[in-house]
Amino acid sequence: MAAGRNKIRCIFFSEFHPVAGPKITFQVPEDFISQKLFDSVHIYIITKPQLQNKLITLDALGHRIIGCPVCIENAKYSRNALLFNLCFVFGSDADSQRYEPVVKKLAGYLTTLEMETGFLSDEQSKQKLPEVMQELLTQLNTCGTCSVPINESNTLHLKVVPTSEEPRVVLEHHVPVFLQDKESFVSSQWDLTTQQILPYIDGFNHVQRIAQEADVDINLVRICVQNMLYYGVITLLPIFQYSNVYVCTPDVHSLVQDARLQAECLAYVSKHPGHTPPRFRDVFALYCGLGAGTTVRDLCTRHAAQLQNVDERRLIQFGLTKGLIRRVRKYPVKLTSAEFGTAKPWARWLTGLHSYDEICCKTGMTYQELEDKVESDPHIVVCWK
Amino acid sequence: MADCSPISIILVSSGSLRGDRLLFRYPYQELPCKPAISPAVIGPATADNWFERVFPFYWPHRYTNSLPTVAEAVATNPYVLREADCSGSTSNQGLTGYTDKILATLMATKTELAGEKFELKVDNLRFVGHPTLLHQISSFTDLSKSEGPSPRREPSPIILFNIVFVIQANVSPSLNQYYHDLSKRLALAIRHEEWRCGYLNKQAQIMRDVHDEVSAMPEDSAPASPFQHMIPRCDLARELRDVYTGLCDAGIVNIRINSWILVSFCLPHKVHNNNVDATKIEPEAVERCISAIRPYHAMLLLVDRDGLLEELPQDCSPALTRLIRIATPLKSLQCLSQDSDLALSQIFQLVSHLVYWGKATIIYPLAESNVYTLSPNAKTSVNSLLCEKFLEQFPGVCLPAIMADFSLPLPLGEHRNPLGLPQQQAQLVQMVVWMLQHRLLVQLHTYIYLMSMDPETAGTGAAKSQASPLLLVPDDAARNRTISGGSEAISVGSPDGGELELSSSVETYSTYSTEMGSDGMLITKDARLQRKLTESLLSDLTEGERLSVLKVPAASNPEDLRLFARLVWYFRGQHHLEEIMYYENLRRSQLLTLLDKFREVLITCQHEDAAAAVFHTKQY
Repeated sequence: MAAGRNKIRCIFFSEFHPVAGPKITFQVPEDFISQKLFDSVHIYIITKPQLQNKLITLDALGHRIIGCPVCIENAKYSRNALLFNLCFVFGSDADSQRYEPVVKKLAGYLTTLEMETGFLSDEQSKQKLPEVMQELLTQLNTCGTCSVPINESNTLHLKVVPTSEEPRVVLEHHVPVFLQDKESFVSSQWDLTTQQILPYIDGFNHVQRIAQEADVDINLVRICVQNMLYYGVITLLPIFQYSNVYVCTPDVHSLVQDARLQAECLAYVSKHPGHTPPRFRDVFALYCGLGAGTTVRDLCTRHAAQLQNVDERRLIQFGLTKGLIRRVRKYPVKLTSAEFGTAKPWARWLTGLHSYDEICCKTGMTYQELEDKVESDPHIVVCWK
Repeated sequence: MADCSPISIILVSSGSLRGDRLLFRYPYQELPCKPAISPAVIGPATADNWFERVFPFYWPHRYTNSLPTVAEAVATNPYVLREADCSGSTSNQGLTGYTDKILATLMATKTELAGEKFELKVDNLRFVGHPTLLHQISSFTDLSKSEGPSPRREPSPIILFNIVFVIQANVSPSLNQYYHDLSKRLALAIRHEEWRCGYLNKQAQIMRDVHDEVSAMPEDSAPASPFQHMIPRCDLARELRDVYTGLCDAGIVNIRINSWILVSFCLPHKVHNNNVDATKIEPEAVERCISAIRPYHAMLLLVDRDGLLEELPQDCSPALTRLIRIATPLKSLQCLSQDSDLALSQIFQLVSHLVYWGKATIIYPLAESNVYTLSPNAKTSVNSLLCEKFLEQFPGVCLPAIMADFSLPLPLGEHRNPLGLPQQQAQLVQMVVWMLQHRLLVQLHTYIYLMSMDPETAGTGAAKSQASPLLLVPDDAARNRTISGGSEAISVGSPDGGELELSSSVETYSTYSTEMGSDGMLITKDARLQRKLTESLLSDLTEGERLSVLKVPAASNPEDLRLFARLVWYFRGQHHLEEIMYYENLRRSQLLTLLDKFREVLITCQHEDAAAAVFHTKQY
């Protein structure tokens, strides 16, 4: 996160004055948004009715203004409606997406406050607003969260949640692996289902097995795993089998260049933790020994000497989590599509869209059974990718 | 990932005469809601409620869908909804709910905002434009009073206009820049035409007339949309429609405003993703590919050669047409430069240009020794369009079968059937080219790493070597050499810079040592020289590495050692065999023999080129 770039520069409260029209009532820090600037953009801040309650982000003149215009209709107001908008201002290069829910939530809080106590329409209570805004600005910029009490029953709870990529879809044959030390998490922090499956996430069990062993519905497991994936606690790997094939990616180069990664790797793949770590040369030779056409079993027989101090499962696991290697999957394809789905029930998986892992999980066949069936049919070809 | 195509294109104007006005928008009918984007609520709502009740705090990103099954989960990932959810909008229904009037007020900005990027995001729609003043308020009005371009003309009723693209808000930020760029280009072209012959005001008048006519019609006989009526009558409306359709179809805009000013634009997000919908090629990836072009690369056209030549604008550089005519995936760029009689730097620029526009890609020239394997993104589906396309091109050959053949990385020469007819061989090459064009294949290169043998120093030696500045120098030098490949290429084999000293010293030492050998005398001196030689040769290496290299039997042969020392700084895994062959002017056999001789200290690794890998994004 860039230090100063993504900070809130200014918070201002703008409203439609019955006489003066749209105006900035308060802003912290003072005079950040000039009158001239406000005049040229106020139609995006105090908006037409069609745009009310929508989150509006405007990039103009070097500022990014995020607001959510609110209109409360009531006969007690001088124009039968109260229009206001509390806006956050950023630099135009800021990554402000994470603040959008905050702005939206804040608009909701202010609406509630106004409806309940007339917080904004009462001139006296309105004077508290600059203080609140100053508090918001400081706390959000320093801690990313804030709780500002307004009155007995209302407190503004806000938190800036970093936007992250949407997590991948979790499938039955995926294996969740912790990216950090499992012990470092307070397990009570998680929900009950996650707590229940947590012991079974050992880096080797796949989702289906975790569901079976923990006695949890597989869909719940998938959602829990996806949730952990969202928070960057785990990553998903394919199942480890000795028949698997892996190839190096260009990133394998970083293992040679990055001394820290190297040390981490040696500690991770060591067969007897605490004892002498394996030689880097051996580990690297093992990674380079991977390639299309070489299964892990082949690797083990060919490089038995180098594997003395190396746990091959952890070797593969480390390579996958760091992106040094990638899995090459087998996709069986049936060439003549005439007899699809008629002859054998498993033939419908041979469209070239499903990998061996997936087919095995779905049909309950073992790898070897599937392999035999595929091998015996000359109309089935296998693509590795 | 959201669609990069625009949802709509809008032209608004603001003027003294009629206020803010939406002149044209396309498409004029509301788009039907796209099922892929709209967050359909699937499954029983009870399950959904139950879930939120159970985990109200652990799930800050609220779900709108229930427990997903595999198929549903793909279409409606719960996290996709987060943004739509927080913004309170119901769904992504294009511009539904935005009347022309609202759009006009929003887009026809105040004059203060003119001449800069304008970007407005409302819920999940993003409006990108470049508001442009038709005449510069301060300087130009004064000018036009005295000696403007056409003093007889009435003062323009349009003060400011804005061409706005409506796109989805959750697309990558770089897309905004591209749309803004296009909006700016169009605006400048239109303004130029206005200054030249009052184009915008004339066209706007036609548009306004149509609006008035349609609104004057009685309610029941009124046509669907006034914008539909503009298309046959108004040039500018047609041009904007063409911009929209061009962007949606291929991501390319190639129009002439008022049949005069050429506006050409390419949306890299779209251009490079047309063939392979599975991957997502970002413009940064294209830039990296362009910066990785080397003289030994070849250019592979991705489109039909004749079609491309037709497409080129008439005033394009003759060098470009010449290059396209002679381009072949078999010849390196350096070869092309000699054949076409163009400077290599110019070839680089032309090729980069074609790559940027998605017309060509960079490959290593086709050769028997090239190793290809299936790209991780290749679509293996048996009934795909790709298979049909392939069948059209090569009747009787089934694409999945060929892909299965290329699943195992073998040199191209070994795919050939030794008993096959020459036509079959030619067809194989054509199929490889076809698959490369569709990014189904990726070439694997062999990289070499020097790894010392010594058990004591091995673990730390490699780590230390990275930290030592000594080693970084030759690496940097290598990079500089490769980057400045343009000028390098001509002087192949003539080493430069720091290497010059090294190799000249090698020459002197080697002549000495051979003399000594033939004399059969002064063995001690010879040995001393030999030691000096190795010290100077391997000065870049760490102590552990040098010792390991010297332990290899082949190191006792000065010839081999000299070659090894010359190449040793390539053995850091940053240069593949082909690159070493090119820069050092070696034959493959020479290089392979050397690698074999020193195999104890070398580890080879096969993977794709990092620059090529960006087109084949990683999967697990």
